[in-house]
Amino acid sequence: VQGGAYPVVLDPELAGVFIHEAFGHLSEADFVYENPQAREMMTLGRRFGKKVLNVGDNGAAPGLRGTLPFDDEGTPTQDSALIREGLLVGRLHSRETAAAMNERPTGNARAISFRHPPIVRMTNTYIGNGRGTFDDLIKDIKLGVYACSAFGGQTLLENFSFTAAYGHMIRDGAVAELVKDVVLAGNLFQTLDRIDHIAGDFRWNQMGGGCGKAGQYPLPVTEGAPHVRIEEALIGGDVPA
Amino acid sequence: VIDGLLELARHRVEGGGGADALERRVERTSVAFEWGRLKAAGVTQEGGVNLRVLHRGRVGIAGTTNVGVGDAAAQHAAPLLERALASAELGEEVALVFPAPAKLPRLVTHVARAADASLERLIQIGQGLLERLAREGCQVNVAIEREVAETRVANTAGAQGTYRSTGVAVSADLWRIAGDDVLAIGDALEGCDLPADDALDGVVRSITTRLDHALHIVAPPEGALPVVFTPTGLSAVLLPVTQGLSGKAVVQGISPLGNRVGEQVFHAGLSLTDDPLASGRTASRPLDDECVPSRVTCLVQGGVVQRFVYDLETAARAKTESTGHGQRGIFGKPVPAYTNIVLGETGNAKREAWNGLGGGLLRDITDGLLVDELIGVGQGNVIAGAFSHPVALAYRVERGEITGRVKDAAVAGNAYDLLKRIGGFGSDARWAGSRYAPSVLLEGVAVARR
Repeated sequence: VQGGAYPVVLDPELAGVFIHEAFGHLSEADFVYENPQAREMMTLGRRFGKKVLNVGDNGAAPGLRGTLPFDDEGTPTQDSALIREGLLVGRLHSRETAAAMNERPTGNARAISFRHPPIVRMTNTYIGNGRGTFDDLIKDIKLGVYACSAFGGQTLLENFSFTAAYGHMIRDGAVAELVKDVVLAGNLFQTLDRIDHIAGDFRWNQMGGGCGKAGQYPLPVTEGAPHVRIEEALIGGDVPA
Repeated sequence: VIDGLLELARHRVEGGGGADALERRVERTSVAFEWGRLKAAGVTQEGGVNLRVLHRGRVGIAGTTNVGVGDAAAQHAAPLLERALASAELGEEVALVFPAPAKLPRLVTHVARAADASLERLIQIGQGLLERLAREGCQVNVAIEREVAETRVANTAGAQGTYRSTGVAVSADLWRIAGDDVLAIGDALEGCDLPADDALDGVVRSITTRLDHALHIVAPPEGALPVVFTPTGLSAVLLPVTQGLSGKAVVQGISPLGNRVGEQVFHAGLSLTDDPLASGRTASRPLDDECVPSRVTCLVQGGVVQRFVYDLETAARAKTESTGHGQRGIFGKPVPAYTNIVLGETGNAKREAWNGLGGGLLRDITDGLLVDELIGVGQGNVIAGAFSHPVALAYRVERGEITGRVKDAAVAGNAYDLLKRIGGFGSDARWAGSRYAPSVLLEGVAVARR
């Protein structure tokens, strides 16, 4: 794919990886609880996206890889809303971070094995269902990218990168030729705010692998999402010399 | 422990087989400072044995951390051997040859001062760094880890080696969050000894210099541009090459370098060496985890591909000899792995002079980038050479000088193509983990921006 800024439609699998990488890690309270500037950046009630955007983490969803009856500190798991109608409404806690911030533990303290301490981790992270179909998302895109499936992702807090397994160009409202080396680069705040349309075709990704943090890898997690449209995102790739 | 185990194995393996084993005991002391204060300190110990048998022409593996000494060791040996033999029933067929006894190189892997350093001493080093990195509006994380290990490897052909080793790793990250701008700048040191004062000075200088240049944000450039990759920023460009030079990839037929030994593939100034004898480095050792004596392997010389790295199994499959790159843990089978990778400009002695960021390479750049850290290195189909990464930490270079930090930019290219177009090597060669490299200027790197 030729590098540049495009309207981008993510398939449910990539949208799930995106929300895990781009937002999930930032909502882990161990990042904010002892850092006043970070707390300010993640103040509850702050607008993160448009009204269509709902994000949560649900350790109690039945039958998923990130599902647990209770976390590794004994806190029952729950469906925690993180973004509701575009506003930040919650974050993921261990007992330590919840106590430090005077909030309630959310059942997100997890350890990869008995060799490690439980730290704040995600379980099953999702973008809530929207309305309409995939065709509704692409019908008014003249030139864009449909990014599919995921090789992986990495976040450095506000900046993230994730690699689609493959993609298609979108031309005049229809899916066109196959393209490779589709890497999405972006800034969390700008990108979340540019999500302008979410379809009603939610599904959980039942894939393998796991999440790594602080030397604890691979932790079983699941992500879920419908098709998601970003008005404009940076796609890395060759630029004409 | 493993000598008795191998003796047992010698009598059990059939079909001209054999066995080798590794025993390793590690004590790890770690100290972590989070957001400027001591957060955790602790000691963990781990020990175990990894046994491989060649039984009826097939390889079997078993590992255990359930090892005692004396009689207890003997009790644990028999079930471990049974498991290895059972695994061989389903194992792959490999014409594995266990190496014969050989003279081992002498090198220092253990420094008593590091092994004996108290927890207080490690905390003191961390506090010193915290104090020197303290800045208004910034927070600092520091981690120190000290490892003391004893390794013994032996095989049924009579080869064996034992060594003690120490390793000390110090890392520091400075965080600055201003509004929605999150800036993280880190550096790390690693060696067999406690870090010297001037090495710690180097960490402080490296972090503060990069911070000073990062405070001002400028628009990124766009197009095919000259880009200087710092010693740490080089990972994205070198990863495809080191993967391609691994004998395992060559045996699998997926290495773009597989049939190019003797060919001029890269810029004539590029040399790449694996050096398990480098002094004071934690990856150095007298022999590998399969009893092959350590020796320096020249991978690329003058841009010409010289050879690949092999462990015993991949060497057997490639019908060549192991280069001494077998690495194994307590569980799982040995895999080929590099020790210390040294990137050098052919014909030039190692130079180590602080010459500002970029090691003197920025002078002739009219408009370009200095890349210190990228996001997502290692994702995707790395070995094919194509990469595309957003920048985590990069600076714009205009008329020979850094004009500020750039955000929301991505660099892309093909590592094999770019390494043909090396515009220069910096005078700032340093260790970054187990890699020794200077900054490298590459011409015509694709830079995209939003």
